[in-house]
Amino acid sequence: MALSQSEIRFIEALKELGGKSDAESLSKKLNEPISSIFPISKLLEEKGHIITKELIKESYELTEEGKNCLINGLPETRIYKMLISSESIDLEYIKKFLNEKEIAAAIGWGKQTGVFEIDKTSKRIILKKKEPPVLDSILKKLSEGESLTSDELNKISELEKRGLIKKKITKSLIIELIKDYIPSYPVIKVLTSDIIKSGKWKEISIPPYDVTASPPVIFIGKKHPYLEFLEEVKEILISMGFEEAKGPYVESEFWNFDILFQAQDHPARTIHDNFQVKGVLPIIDAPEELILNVKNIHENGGSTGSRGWRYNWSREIASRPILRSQTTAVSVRFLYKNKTPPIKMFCLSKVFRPDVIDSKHMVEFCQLEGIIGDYGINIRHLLGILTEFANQLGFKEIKFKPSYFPFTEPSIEAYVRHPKLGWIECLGAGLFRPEVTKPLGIDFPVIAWAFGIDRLAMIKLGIDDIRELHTYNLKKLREWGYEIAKD
Amino acid sequence: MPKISISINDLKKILKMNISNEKIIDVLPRLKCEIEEIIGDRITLEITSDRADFFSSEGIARGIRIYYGNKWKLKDPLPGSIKLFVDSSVESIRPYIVGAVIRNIELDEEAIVQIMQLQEKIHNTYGSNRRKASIGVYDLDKISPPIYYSAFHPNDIKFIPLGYSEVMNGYDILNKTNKGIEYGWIIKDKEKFPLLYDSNNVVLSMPPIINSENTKVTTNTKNLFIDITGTDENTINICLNVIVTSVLERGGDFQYVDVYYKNKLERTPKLEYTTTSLKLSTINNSLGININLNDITYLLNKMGHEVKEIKDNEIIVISPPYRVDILHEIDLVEDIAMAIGLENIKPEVPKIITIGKLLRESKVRRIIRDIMIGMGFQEVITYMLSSKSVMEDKPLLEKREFVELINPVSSEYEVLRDCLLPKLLQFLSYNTHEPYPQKIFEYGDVVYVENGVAKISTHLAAAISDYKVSYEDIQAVVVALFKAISKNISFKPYNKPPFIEGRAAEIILDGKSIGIVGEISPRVLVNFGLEFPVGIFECDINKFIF
Repeated sequence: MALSQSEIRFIEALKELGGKSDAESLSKKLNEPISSIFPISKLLEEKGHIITKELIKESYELTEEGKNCLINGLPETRIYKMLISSESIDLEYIKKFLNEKEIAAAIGWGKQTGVFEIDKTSKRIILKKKEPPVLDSILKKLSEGESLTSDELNKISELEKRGLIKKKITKSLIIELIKDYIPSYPVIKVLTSDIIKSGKWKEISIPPYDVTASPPVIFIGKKHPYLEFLEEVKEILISMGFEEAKGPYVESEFWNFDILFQAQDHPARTIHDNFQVKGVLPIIDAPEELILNVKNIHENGGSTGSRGWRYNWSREIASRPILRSQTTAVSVRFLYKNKTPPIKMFCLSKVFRPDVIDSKHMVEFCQLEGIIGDYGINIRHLLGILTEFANQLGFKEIKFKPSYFPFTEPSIEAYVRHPKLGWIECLGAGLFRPEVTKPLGIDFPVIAWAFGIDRLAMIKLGIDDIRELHTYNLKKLREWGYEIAKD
Repeated sequence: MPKISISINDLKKILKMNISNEKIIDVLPRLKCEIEEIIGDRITLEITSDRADFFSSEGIARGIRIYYGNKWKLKDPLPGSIKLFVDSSVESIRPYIVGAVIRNIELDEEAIVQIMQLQEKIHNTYGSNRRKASIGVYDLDKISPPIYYSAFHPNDIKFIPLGYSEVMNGYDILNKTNKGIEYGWIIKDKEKFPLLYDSNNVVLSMPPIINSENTKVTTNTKNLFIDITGTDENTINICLNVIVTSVLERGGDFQYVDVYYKNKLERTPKLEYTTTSLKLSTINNSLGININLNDITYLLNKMGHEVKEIKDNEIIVISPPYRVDILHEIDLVEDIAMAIGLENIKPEVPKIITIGKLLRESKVRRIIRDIMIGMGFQEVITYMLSSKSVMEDKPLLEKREFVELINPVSSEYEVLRDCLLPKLLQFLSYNTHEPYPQKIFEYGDVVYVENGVAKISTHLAAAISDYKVSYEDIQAVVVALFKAISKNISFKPYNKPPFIEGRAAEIILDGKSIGIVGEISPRVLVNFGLEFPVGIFECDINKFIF
């Protein structure tokens, strides 16, 4: 039977190792991971070229206690050393250096060998003969992998019984060549440049391989599927004429809430709904005029004709640094800098909210934010653009319901229809309130929406745990196959 | 958004009109009452947090009745009033109180459930978890007015709290009752606690914590006393408007409470209508429709508003006292949109010509990713939030300032990463059972602190791990990458963790250090549980592109 290229290399290497080898040596010789040795040896064994045998090797290794003894000395050795200078020692004195278990082991050994013993009446340990303990040197040899004399080997069981060493069993695969492959003569293993240049190829035959055998696995460089989905979404928005924007992850509450007309005691502004941060100075990164306008809007509606929230607005609360909890903060920052219509902006980025982490909730996730601002823009345009965008994402049906967000009015939420999962709530939208646009210096209407894009990514990628979007599983990433869309 | 539970039978009882279940189910979402679940007679609804008037079945019944063309009218008050005296001792603790009386009402068990639910939802929203406003409802016949609102030392407060059978003092109530444990934070630092009691010294409640057992409302209760205490006068007034108008939907009449402060007298409930001037152009411009004044009156009526006057193209709209969410004319525009029905507003794709464009950094990102893919690296993404030990201790990196969460939910996510290298080592540590070689990269944002300000930068990091990896293996990747973007780099020795001394370098471009490359020290590998060597590099894209 023909052999594959890697099988021939395997046999050649085995021959160079004298026709018999363990898997480790063979792996080094071939410069292949040990894991790739096993499948090939199995194939070659089936084809009758080699036999394999599992070899079980016994050795000893030191336990934690054994390692301690190696450093400090065995208890009997430590007592023996003290006795050498003073013949007898008070037991109480020894207790300062050795614990009870160690003393018991040492006295046991002293009694057994007759080297020292305890005098019950005086409570002293008395040296009987000078014969140094030997187990220390055996322990040292074992730790360094040296071979033991037969005398020493006899003492192994004693060390094991005392829990200083333990038996270690290692398995290894021994591979033996029993049938070489038969090359048709004269043979070459691999066609090389030398053979072609020298013309030698005319005189030789090139042996066939088993071309149906599995080759070694290669892992290709691949993009992350979740990011690929997000790129696809960006492509759609670009094609619809939107300009990308970004903003800070660490925001003042001012940009995350106050400017969005969220009252300072709004339920979404508590520590249960935002990540407050330390290490960053509390600063409102905005001109004083804007800050005062926002303060007035909250307190009495300012010049917008609104009643406002009617409370004393606090600059201190507004300057607290938090992790951005909504990408709407990016939209308002963008509007503040870009006041000339028409404006079409999107932001696809991370937001952070405390939550119980489970398959549906993560404290860090992506939001897709979009705004359109121009004279004459209205709710019908909002419904139109969302319908069109959902269509581009592959959802043919979308429905709208009235909703509530502090910064939009009218407020809308939308559901898209998935063929298997039914109606899925996927976004919040609305017309920015005058209390939001006026202080920014925007005098035209702005429609805005925010998609829970991770939910759509999960549907698209066929996963049911949001944490898998940031998977740590390399196997999954390697096996993730691209799907080539029909169009 | 608050979730509430109502009974269809109870709803129909309050509705007092002939209406099918199907019609009810159809109209609820049009009024922003999202149906979550229907089990038998009970419906679970998600209400938007602005509509306090929909936090119980009474208000929802009223909304449906008006939607189908019925008018709502505020009942006339009963003559007379009861007196409530406010002592100045509450000024620094919980200064404001409002009250109302409702007489001749019949309450079944569901009615009590609904009133409790309304109270709880208002507490959680407008009441800021009872801090700003907290409501008490009592059986008036168990109380002898006038009523007194004053503050006492907790040891001097003694009554049986609602749901308990023994007399407790103020401290016991905070420490032993469920409500005390939940809401005690609001008053626990005060020297004195607020107390509401009557002319016979019968305690009504210790706001904002708990009522007394002795004044409890039962199905035998015929007359109610309601109070709201709080820190914001406007809030407690509007909350009282909602409660009184809701309870009156079940029958009965209301009577005023005169609240005597040291130097003022307030008669509550105020039950004031709000007047808003609405321009025809605001409606048509916002909704992209063209409707006339007659239609607008009809649509506003459907949502419970009255048109008082029309002059030129301006409509003077009167909204009932329970509509505490109307701040601006735009809120009336939303009501008109809801009355029309969103399905009747035709979507239209805006015909605005704009040029779509990516941020420059998104374009750079695409180029760099392509190069890394070309070199056989698998892209990975890790969370920006990280454990501090992964960023600092395990890779033996120096102590430094991070953007750190005050309220993390898990130690896995407590700081924002300021570099990617430790995250890649962590990634590799989860995959030690996977075939090698492993070649991974991440391109992403990091946040670091500079002089107390959080700064964003974009980093690229890549790692190779295999049975053996040399410095050259990873250095070659760096050289190839920069060659591919036409940049000439050089290397300068770098002898710091997490690398092996003598096997790491700074990447230098135009005399500036833009990154590091090297072989990870075995001490670090062991910290991450890695048994295969790792060659890694990380560079700061912002330092040479943006």
